[in-house]
Amino acid sequence: MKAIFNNKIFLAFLIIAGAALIVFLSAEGMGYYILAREKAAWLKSNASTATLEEKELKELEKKNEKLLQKIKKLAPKGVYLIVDTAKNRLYLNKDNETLRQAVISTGNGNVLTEPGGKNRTWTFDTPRGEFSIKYKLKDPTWLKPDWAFIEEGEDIPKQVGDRVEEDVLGEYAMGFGNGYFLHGTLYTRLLGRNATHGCVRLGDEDLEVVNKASSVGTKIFIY
Amino acid sequence: MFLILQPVSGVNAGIVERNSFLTEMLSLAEKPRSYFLIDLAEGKMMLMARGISIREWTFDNIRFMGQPLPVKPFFLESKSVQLSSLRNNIDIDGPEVKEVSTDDAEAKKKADNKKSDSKEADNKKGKKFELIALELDDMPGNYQLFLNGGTIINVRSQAEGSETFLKKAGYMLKWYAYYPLLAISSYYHKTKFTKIDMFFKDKTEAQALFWAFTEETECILLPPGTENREDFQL
Repeated sequence: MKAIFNNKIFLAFLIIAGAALIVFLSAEGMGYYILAREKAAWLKSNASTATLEEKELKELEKKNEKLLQKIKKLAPKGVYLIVDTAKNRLYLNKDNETLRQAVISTGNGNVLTEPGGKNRTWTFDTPRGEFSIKYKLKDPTWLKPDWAFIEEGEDIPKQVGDRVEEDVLGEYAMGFGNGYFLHGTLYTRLLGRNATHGCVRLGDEDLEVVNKASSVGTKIFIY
Repeated sequence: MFLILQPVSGVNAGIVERNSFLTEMLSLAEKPRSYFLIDLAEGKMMLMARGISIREWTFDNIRFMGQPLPVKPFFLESKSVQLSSLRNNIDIDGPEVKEVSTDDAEAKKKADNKKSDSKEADNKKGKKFELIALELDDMPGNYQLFLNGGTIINVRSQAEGSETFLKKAGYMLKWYAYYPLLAISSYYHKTKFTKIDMFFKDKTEAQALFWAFTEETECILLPPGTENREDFQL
């Protein structure tokens, strides 16, 4: 043991390690001190230091009430739809109450690039944000877009008639812009999965209910 | 003549703070985009649109450190995992598409018959079918959200299996040893340093948050102070 402590190299190592530890602990302590001060500031961050006249305070109260009313006015009136593309659920809501929950299919998120150096690319996402139903169709027909042929390795037809496909969209379709629809499906076993090219597919019963409850202008919130 | 000047504290402070909160909330609610309201005191996060909550997340644990943030909109600059890196590219000649095509062909047949019974067809369909898609399960359960202004939100979820101990140890080391050192650096260099840590026991909640919180989405962070909570209610 004595021999170890007599070893100069070991002793030097001990001194350097001890000094490093002291520096590290001091730095940590300083860091904690700064963080504690900042945390206290955060907890008190609501308190303003300005002074206001009583009249100004009353005016501010009135302003707050007006602001609140403005926000409340922005809320959707009547029926609105919420689409959760992660869990593949659609909620039919009215005045903050869910009237019906449906298992749906939304965009598969895949990327398709047109071969042959044409550089057209499609990302099959269901668009997110706020939309509204622009039109409603009964017994809709699908006019297949280019990507539907490219995906299947087929040539893109020149005649519009060759793009028509019937009885694949269910009994109703509700368009919410840019070619996206809420519609029915033949692939019922894929409900609950991300399986579409961006449209929202519903089962027959849910489609019937949603179609009946909604009208042109009904808001759709998609996330 | 007396001028009644009142220091803005207590109830009055609430009026001023409520005014800035409502002003910012209105500015976000007027936009046709969804936004987040992150309540650090309540440990909740709400996805909102037009002033109404459309989805809510509750954290099992929440911590924060660093400089206080004002009640104003921030936006998500980036995430530690890019969604684009998780996407599948459709291989037109690949076997996956052939499987999908089989499904399509069968669906077409059903359409031709017009009275197809999809359930029956589903049962007949081979079990080989595998859906190639970007789904919730593909989302990460642990990631970082980088807000403008230098704020970083760590989202963590329960680690699985043998990773648990190592991940926890790594996290503790980072939070309790590395971040205090970083705080000194930011103090001297006068750079922004705010870290928020959100923990979910349920991994799918963290994954759903990753899915919903897209780049450019705005958010308001409510301060963790517990006074005047009603001032931040709609």
